[in-house]
Amino acid sequence: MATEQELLDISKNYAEKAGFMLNPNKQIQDSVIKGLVRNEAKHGFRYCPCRIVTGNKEKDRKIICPCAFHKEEISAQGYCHCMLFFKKE
Amino acid sequence: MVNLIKGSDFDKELSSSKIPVIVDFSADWCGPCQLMAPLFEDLSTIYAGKLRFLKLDTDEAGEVAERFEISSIPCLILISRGKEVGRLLGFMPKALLIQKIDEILSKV
Repeated sequence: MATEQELLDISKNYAEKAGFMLNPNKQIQDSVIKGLVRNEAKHGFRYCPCRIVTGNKEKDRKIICPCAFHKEEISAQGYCHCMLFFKKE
Repeated sequence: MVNLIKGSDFDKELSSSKIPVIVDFSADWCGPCQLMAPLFEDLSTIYAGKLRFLKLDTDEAGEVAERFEISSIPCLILISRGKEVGRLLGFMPKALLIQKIDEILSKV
C-alpha cells in the first residue's frame, strides 16, 4: 500500500506524462491524496475520494484515480471533479 | 446557520422543516467539499428564513447518500415537501450557486 508521499509522487508523475499538473492549492491536494490513501486502505483500491464507492466492482473500477472521467472534465472545466488534476497553465 | 446532522436524524429533520431544505453531501477527504463549506455557510445567511441548511457526511450517512443515488460529492440537494426539487453537482463559485438555487426556488 502506498504512503501519502508515494501517492503524491505517483500522481505528479501521471500528471506530467498526461500533460496536466496537480492542483496548486496544497491544502486541497493534500486532502485528496489523504483520501486516496484512506480508500486504498479501506477498499483495496485508490478510489476517488469525491465519488461514492458502490460496492459494484465493475462500476467502481471507473472511479479508481485517475478515473475514467478526468480527461473529459479537465477538457471541459480545466480540472477534474476532485480538483487533483488541472490543465497546465 | 448550517446544521451538521447524522444520517439517522435526516428524516426527522426533513419532516420537521416548514421551509425547503438544502443538504450538502460531503466528506472530510474531498477537496472541493472543503472549498464548498465556507460558501455553503455564507449561503445559509443569504437564504435565512427561506431555506434550511443541513450537512451530511457521506461516510457516516451512507444509507441516505444511497437513497438519493449520490455518485459524487460535493452534491447539494434541494428538498421541498419531502421531494427532491433540484441538485447541484461539484464545486461552483458563489454567484453561480445563488443563480442556480434561485432558479430552483422559483419553480417550487
